[in-house]
Amino acid sequence: MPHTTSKSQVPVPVQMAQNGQTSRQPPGKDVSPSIIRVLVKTPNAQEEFVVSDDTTVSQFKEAISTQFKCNVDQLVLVFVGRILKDQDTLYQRGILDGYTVHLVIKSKNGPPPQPSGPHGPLLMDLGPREGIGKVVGNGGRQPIIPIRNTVPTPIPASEPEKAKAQSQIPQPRTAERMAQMLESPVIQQLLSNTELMRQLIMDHPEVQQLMKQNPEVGHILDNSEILRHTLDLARNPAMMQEMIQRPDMPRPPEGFWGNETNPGGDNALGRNYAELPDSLFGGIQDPLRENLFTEFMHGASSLGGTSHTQSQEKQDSKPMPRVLHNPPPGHPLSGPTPVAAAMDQCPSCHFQDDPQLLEDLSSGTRFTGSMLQLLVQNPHLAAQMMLFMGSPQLYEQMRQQLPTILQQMQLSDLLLALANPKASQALLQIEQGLQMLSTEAPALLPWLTPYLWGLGRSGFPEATAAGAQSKEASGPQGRGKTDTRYQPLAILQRLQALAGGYSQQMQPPEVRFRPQMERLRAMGFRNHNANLQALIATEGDTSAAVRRLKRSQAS
Amino acid sequence: MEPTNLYPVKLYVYDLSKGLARRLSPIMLGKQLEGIWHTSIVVHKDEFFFGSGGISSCPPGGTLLGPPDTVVEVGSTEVTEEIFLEYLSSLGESLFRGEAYNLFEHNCNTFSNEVAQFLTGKKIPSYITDLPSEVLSTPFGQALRPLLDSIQIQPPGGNTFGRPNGQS
Repeated sequence: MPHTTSKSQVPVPVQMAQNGQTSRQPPGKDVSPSIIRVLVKTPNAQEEFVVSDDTTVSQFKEAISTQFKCNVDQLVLVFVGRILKDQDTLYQRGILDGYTVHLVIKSKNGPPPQPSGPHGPLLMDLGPREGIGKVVGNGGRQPIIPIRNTVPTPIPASEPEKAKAQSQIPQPRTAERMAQMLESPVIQQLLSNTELMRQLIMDHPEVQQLMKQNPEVGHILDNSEILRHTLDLARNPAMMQEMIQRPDMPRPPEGFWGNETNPGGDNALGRNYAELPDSLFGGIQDPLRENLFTEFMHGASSLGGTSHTQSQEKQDSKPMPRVLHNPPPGHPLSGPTPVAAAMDQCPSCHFQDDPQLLEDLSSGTRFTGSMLQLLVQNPHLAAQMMLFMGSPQLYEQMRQQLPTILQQMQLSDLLLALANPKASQALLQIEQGLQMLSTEAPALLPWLTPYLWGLGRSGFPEATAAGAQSKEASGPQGRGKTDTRYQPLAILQRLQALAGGYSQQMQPPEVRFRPQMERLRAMGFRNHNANLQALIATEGDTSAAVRRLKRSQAS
Repeated sequence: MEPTNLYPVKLYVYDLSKGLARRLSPIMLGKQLEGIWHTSIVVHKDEFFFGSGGISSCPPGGTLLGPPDTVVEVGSTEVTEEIFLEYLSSLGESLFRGEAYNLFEHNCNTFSNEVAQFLTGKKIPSYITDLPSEVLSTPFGQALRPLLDSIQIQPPGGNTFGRPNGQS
């Protein structure tokens, strides 16, 4: 760097400037020196100085040095990008009243070293693609946790000073580094880039071998949805651990891999995907079946051992909230609201059967980043997409692969409705009004429980029953209401409940369940009261009611 | 005629949405946004930007974002590299620490604006610095605010300005 500080350059221009000064001053300055206020701004602080505008810069610097308690030599004044030289006056430099001058105080031991030190332990290596390949490729061979042992190996590819820093990391600490690395936004962005990850995995020779042996694997790898979910799971070690620890994980009801898959086939891939349980694969497979998100929740709720039919066994679903209560630390996207919005999306609405579950989820539990990533995939959530999606190609790919979902989402209707800012404001007002009512007039709560259901205060069984019925009625429309905001979605559905199901809710159960009662009687269950109780308990689900009645008859 | 050197100062502007914002913002927000702007200052043949990891630097166009969508000539500066690095390191310890990052209030564009003013006395174009308020003035933006507030952006590919014990 040939450039030296301004001080050493002073001798040369001094004569010129002085000549200029002497010649310039008499004609140029015919007003008396005025007092100006100058703001001196450092990165840490700023101070106002009141000086006369024919103060020389050196005099100014002396005043500053006493104020900031440093040597005059350490001061560098910058105005409009120009370094102020000592012999100029403030007026000459064009510093008028109220202007800001920037100050840099040089540290005593000279300028800081060139930018060094890797940003986080390993993120530097992830700039070039080869670096990424090395890190992830090695890990593809084993479960993700032991990847820490391969971490130091990509280092030789980077610059020597970084290598030095890395080699000093003691082995036991790489576990923390690994966790840090996985949780860092860099990695998460990378992992979100399905194209990239897919390419990396495909490039791995073992994977290619596996694909030759088992074409199903190729099918999986081609499905970006599955990749994304897998990566999300890999990203959340807590959830993974929870799932791995549960021994009673049910197998997926349909053969996820097809019946011709050898039993060990998915294990091989499971190795590559850090041994994720198959039930989760079963849960997320088949994106063409309804809402992808529903499937994920199927998989997730199957953790609790519930069957896929609507059932009321709350005790089975209790483990689910436990899983969800493991918040991924430091995850950038967290918050209950998008989760609840996503859940409201479920057309089959399993959660209305389980108000406990819904309450747990919506009452502030930080769900896994995978949920939110699912929302990211959702083409309606353009705001998140803007920030996270890597490329338009991915967007197009998604659109091509999930046409049915888009149809179901009824994209244009919803978005056009939302596009009207007055509509959204009206919805906001409704939400606020409802919230105010709940705080101001709790006595009205029993009447409002159908509406409050969406807010998560779902302790009322009648509310859920009513909500269930009305939700089913508004199901087809409800499916289309994919919203980034949790509140208006709930409001919309509640409004529909109002419109569609009001009369239903207000009727006694006997009237509501009349068709089911008829059916039960036809089946041979004569006890009117018992039938009614069973139907109330199962919210009108005839088959579940039949099971209940049988059980009670047997006992 | 000044013997001191003048160094050009450029602003690299990236659209984080890669065109999606231009297409979808009328539908989602009700107003047209041309992009979600991330900026960095390029001076002394280095690119400097601020993210959730603090101030970082890299070769120009060297982040994972690739080449910039727009390059704005901010002006030129006399500030030498040495003084500039000194300035940046004190900024990084005070106003622009990594944890100070906030997507709406104190983001990469805040940093670029600050540095541009230091180097040249000029601000960066207002369409960039006005973006957060544009978004927040829509009901959609207001609704999404809690979520967006927690988002932290750190384009990979840069070195942080380290204090010796700067690693968190």
